[in-house]
Amino acid sequence: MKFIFGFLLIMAVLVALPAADFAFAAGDEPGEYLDRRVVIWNLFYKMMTVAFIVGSVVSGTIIWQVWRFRESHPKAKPTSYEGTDW
Amino acid sequence: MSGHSNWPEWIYVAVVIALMAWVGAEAWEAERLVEHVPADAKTIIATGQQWFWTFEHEDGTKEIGELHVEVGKAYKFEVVSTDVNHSFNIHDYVVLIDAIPGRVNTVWFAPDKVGEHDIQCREYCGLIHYNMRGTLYVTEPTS
Amino acid sequence: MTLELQKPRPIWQIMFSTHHTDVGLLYLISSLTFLFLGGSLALGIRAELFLPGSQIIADSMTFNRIFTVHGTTLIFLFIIPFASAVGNYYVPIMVRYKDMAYPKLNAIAFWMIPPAGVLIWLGFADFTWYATPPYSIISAPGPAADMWIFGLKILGISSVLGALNFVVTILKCKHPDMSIGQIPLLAWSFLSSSLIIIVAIPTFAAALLMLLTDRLGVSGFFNPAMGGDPIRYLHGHSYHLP
Repeated sequence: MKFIFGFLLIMAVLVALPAADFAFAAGDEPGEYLDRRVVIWNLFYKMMTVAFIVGSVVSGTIIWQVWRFRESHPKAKPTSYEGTDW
Repeated sequence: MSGHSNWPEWIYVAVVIALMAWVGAEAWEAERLVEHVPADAKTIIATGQQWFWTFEHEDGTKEIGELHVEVGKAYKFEVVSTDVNHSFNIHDYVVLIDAIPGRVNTVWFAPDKVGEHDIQCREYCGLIHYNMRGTLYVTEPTS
Repeated sequence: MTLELQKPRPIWQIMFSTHHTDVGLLYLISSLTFLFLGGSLALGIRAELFLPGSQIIADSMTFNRIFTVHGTTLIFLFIIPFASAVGNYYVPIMVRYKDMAYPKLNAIAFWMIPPAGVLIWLGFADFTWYATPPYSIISAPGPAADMWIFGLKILGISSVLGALNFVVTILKCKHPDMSIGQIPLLAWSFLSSSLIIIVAIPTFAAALLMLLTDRLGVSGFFNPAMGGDPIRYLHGHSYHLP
């Protein structure tokens, strides 16, 4: 519980603050225009990273859970439905 | 059906909401940055019709199928269509916006290197949609 | 032990049947047929795009027609009826009932699909499976567009009838000893997607009807000169498809 809270706090500091800083520092004078390619591709890289992290966490959890609660696991307990009809 | 605690589920909900909020904030920020047209951007009216592009500069110069711009300057496209839906796309500069009859869509960019780039149509518009192309010429400033 | 083979059932008995397993089988046969037809169009596209220049398709209009019918077939004539095939076979079994709630309606919903498919394939429209106006109104040549619109309307009605059947079967015809929380997860997924279909397909059908009246010239929903907006079509169309 504390671990997750700490992790989220670190993510906020590492990600949100630089983003806000970058936004306010954007230039608007000739010679200093924002390059839309850079903004768009950076967003793409960030979202891809997030997607793969979330995907690996979710699928890793599912795989662990399927492996741990298989019927042949040494620590597997019978369910409360054993012996019932349907 | 209560009786067992379900704090893992609530943590999961909180994490998902936080993630979506963060993704939303990042996307909003990127959109805001990309859509903020610089005040000194020069307007170019880009007209799409079956099956070619025409451009009209601020000073009245008209071009068909070709667009000449200067490096380092900001340009704002007002994209319109006279017949069916088209989509104005300069692939190398990630400029992509639909041309819909009855409305004017705006997109801006500032080319940073001299060169030639392809302009293409990215919305199906019929027989020669596949070849509705143009060329963007980025040149040194004349003045 | 000898294997006893029954005489196979006569084809007409399966075709005229209203039992959910037979209707599911018919859905399966029809959707797989359209899978192979639409897939062969995809192979044609890939053969054409293998090298620059024209390989096997002579002109761009034919290519446009091919990708339109390919997309339309694989979505509306394959995937959606295939889901219905699986649902028709399994949902009554999952809720421990003898058939779907309305067996004859079930059969009607299936038999709308082959004629609609024939309409779409005979028309071979060219405006992509999105059929976005204004192109689908002012430029698409011939009766192809109208045939496509009618074909999709029929398919929409078929989907709604099938979805109604699923919802009533799952909610009202499940075994009395089964609470709603005990039905299998797949039955739940059919219930939720059927509810979504019942809500979303009428908006799609409305968008198609507006497209048809615009094509006939009696309305200007998507014509800016008559006060309309092409983006309105995308609202009706894109709301449905997800």
